[in-house]
Amino acid sequence: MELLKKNKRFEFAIFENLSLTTGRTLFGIFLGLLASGLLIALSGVNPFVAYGALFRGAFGSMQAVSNVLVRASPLLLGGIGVAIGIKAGVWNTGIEGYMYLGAIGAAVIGVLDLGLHPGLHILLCIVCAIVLSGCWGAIPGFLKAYKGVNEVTATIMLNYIAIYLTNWVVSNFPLVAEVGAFYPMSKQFQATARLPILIPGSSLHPGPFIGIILCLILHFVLNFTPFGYRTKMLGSNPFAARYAGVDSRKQILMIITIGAVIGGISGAIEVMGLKRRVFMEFVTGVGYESVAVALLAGGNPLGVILSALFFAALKAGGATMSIETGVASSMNSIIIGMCMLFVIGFGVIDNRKLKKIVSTDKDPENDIAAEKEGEK
Amino acid sequence: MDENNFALQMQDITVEFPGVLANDHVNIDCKKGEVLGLLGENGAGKTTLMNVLYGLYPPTEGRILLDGKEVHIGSPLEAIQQGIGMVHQHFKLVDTLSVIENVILGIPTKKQRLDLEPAKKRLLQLCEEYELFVDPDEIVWRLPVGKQQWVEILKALYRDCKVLVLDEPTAVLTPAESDQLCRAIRRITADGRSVIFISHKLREVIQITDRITVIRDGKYIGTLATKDATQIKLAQMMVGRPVTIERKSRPVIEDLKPVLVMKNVNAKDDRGIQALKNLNLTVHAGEIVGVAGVDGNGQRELAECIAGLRKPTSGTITINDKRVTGVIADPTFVGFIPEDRQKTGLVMDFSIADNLIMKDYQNAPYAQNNVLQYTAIKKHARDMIRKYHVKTPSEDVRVRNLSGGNQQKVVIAREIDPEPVLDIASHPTRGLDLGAVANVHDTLLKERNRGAAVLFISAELQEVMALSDRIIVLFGGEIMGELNGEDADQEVIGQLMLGHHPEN
Amino acid sequence: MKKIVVIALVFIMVVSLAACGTGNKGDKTKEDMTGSVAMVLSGLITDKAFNQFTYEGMMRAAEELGIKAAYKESVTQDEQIEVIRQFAQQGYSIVIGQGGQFGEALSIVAAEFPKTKFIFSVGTDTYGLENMSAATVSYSHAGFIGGVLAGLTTKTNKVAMIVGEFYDNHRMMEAGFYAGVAYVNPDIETTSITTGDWADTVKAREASLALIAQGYDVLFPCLDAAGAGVAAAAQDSENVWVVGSVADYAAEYSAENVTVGSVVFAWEALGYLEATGKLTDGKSHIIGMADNGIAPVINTTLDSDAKAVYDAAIADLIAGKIDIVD
Repeated sequence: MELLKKNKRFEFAIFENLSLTTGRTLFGIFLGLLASGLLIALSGVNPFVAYGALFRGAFGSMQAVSNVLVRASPLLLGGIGVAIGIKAGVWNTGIEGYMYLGAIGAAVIGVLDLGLHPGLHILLCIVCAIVLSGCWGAIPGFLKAYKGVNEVTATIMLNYIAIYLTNWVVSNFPLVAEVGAFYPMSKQFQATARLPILIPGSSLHPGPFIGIILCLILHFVLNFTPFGYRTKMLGSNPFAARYAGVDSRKQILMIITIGAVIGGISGAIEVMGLKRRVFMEFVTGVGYESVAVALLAGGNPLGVILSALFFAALKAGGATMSIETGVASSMNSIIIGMCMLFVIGFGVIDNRKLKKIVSTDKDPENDIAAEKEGEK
Repeated sequence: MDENNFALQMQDITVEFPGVLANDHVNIDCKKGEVLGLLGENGAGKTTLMNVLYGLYPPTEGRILLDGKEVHIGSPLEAIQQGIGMVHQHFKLVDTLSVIENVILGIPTKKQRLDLEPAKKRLLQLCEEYELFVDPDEIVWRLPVGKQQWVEILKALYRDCKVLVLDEPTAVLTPAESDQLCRAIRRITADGRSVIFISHKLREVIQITDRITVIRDGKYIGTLATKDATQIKLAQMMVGRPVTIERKSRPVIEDLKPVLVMKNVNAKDDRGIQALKNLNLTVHAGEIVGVAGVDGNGQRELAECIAGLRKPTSGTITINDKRVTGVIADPTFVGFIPEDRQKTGLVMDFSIADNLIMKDYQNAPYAQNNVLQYTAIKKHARDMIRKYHVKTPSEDVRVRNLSGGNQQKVVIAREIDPEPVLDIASHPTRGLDLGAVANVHDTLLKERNRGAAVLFISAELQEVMALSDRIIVLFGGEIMGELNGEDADQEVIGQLMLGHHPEN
Repeated sequence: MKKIVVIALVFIMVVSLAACGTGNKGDKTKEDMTGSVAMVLSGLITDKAFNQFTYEGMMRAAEELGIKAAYKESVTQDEQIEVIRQFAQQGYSIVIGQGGQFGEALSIVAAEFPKTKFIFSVGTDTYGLENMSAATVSYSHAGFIGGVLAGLTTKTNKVAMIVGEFYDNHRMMEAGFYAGVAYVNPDIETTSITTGDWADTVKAREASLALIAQGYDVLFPCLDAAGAGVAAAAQDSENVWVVGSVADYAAEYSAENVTVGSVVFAWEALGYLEATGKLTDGKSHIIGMADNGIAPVINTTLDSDAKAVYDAAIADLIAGKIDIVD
């Protein structure tokens, strides 16, 4: 009898946890929009009109939806790259740098007229991007795993190196740089090295779908493979992982490198699908937004799909909002920031509540009584 | 009149953490100008009790009286204001600030500008008075650890504490520094202040204190005047169990084959201090070798070296003639029940099913073609839950939500069920209730009878004596003596645990 | 329970947003879009530099001609195409991409909207598209005038140009500068150096001091914020002069005591011209002295001889008699 009661309580707690997580995320977003709405009103624009424009800019037409998807591409890929790191207990904040390296890698092959079949040319570009970004990511991976260097410091420092390396490549590296340009940029990618546009008259390239597929694959890898099991064990309890025989150094190196490779693919897709050239400083903060995307998703690959689309919708809708209503373009970042703040803020409060639920769950007397019954 | 003599009284203090009763109705009282020793093994709840006093944890039950008046202490700041000074085991100094800056840190002032001169003068006075000399302008991280402790003590004295708590103060001190500390403590109590001296080292406690309170397993055992105390009496209070566990009968196994062989093993602990000294040990198939000793005498390092989690600095360890070189994750070879199950033995956020395959997750039938087979994993979990009587509604429950005893059952099921050739059980009954303890004992005995070699580490003398075929006693990383389990004498083991050879 | 919460919240959001979204759609379509112009900028329209001045130029044109004008500031690289396409979709006749980084994005959208005119501002490439034009101020004219002023000022017959980094337009400016110096006196020694950073004041000052130590007494900086460092170096030395470019050095960096004059890029004029629709012929335009693309400011009084040389040089430049590549 005692046991039965306990069963119910357990199930209830688990069920409640899930609804709490989603519910509080949505509530946080709602409060973020509310607070930003006040600011928009203060700046002299009717917030309902502004949000109406935002909504239309994100979902109002096929074009709008494709804009959202295009913007989601680097966020999806970057977000999943960061998310697997979170699962393993490392903060892989180097997406920005990996994107640059991936873009350079793609450009080195992509600007050459090799007379190849498009599929093959694209594949070669991606492979080169993977190799370059993978090697780049192995640097902070090695430093973290074998030298104990903080991965956040290492990756952010390397981001700057990647930025300046790209600047040099697109302005001075003769094989890639466009000579005589008014802005530092690479030569144009050959037609055979460009990703196809899926809907004519839009910029929709396969990137967002590759991102979603990668999220699904990594969801599977994390939850249904020994590799994923190892990763999660390392992230939740590194001592236990060592005890179970996991080579945590190798695992950390691999996880950071995988994140880097995904980041590199993201950069390559961005230049092959959207930009057609590598421009100086073409990644404008997307790498850091990826960290926010992964954070909002709680490191969950399926959550990354939703949170990347959410970010992308706010960004695309926000652009339309400022074009149509004249709201300052910085309002966009404010809305995103506010939403994040409220979501994370609620997370903290709710964590405390959850702890209470757990601790009241424990009931040693019950336990002993049940045990004695079991012995009879 | 007598009542008012107490500087501090803590009555019926109870602290409950999820799964653990850290303090169970503990009473201590400390007179003015007295040194009270608080004695207990690692994990007995001494530090928890002092953290309650310092306002870090609210007690579930009980009350605190200062000078006979009941007080409520909600935070360290309130504790300081009430005149409680605390020197933690791990110092709470800001490494990059100077000594004087650390001393005045946190003292509220109305001045807008920081003037260190008067504070320095006062600090130097205190240094003179207690013979604890430190340079006020030295940066803390440059100081040797012993001097850092002086800073902590001076910091408390600077705040004019009435009760000074020293948590394991001698752990980091050289013998000369320990003597200096003794003299300082004498001076501190001479002005009517009280000192609570926490330690598990008997010699020091007897040397320094006026009275001694012993706690064990979070429970209050007793208080006695130091002049009536002997090391042996204290040791019994510390490790003895009120209920005697009867020695289990067992079949005799002939022709013992050596399984674990350790030769001249030396190892260091996490702080880099020698923890095992030239240790030689053999455990045979079909025997339980019990490791007795006061906790912290190399038991942890011994277990970790055998399991491959710690690299010995020299010497060899072989199991079934195979040299141990790295972590052994083969559950059919070595089963290891680690002493800290929550930190090492389990992933608290994983389900029971996931925890049960921690060492087997790459092997069939749990993984095939690099895909985890959850049907097999869950079936295995349900079998284990039934076999080891884990109380849980389902195998998907997170281990965090289980009680301590049931968590231990999960570890034991995982480590023992694959029938390894060697079992290492490190404090497997710590924190468990009586029923669960009996279960663990039965399981280990079954392992022995199956023919496994069992190394059983425990600080509970009674259970070591009840369970072991042979007993070794560890002291300071060395084997002080080896006894036959059948006719071991508690007195003799007690002597060995304290580092005395009974002959002397 | 969980699903209900999700669905309820999403529903509320959708309904409320859709409801207010429909309200303002009606009046938009009625607007007259003839001659209307939209500008896409990489920075803020309050940056007191390039972005602000081109924007102000467009707004002046819009006011004079009574046309509709729109803009989007702080357009990042990943949204260029999207924003440009939105303007084209909304029916603006002219869409201006303000800055060298917009070329590729403009060309992509221009191919999709043949009836809309696109202007690649501060660029020269029209990507072979009939509806895409390019426009920029003449860097070589600016260099030439700067060269003339420097040549007239130098006593040591050594003058130097300081650039952050050499892109193509700065090469043209350099050539113009050398031609301008030679126009005054072919014997004057010239050089040019890069500092590697457009905004690093300290680097610019160090570089300038090094040049001064070598005897160069007129400095011709082409920098952003780092220009202040060049002015400061001149102020700290004796008998050293600055000929500014891009911005008005005397006003911008309070260096009137060492500034001979500045060849100011008339961004406002560029934005104005682009918005008027005169540059939409599918060609590349370089707005030189003749079209007020460069606005020289003289801070010292030139003596009559010098004045004569200067005026002759400007006249020759406008008449196209000077042989420099644009």
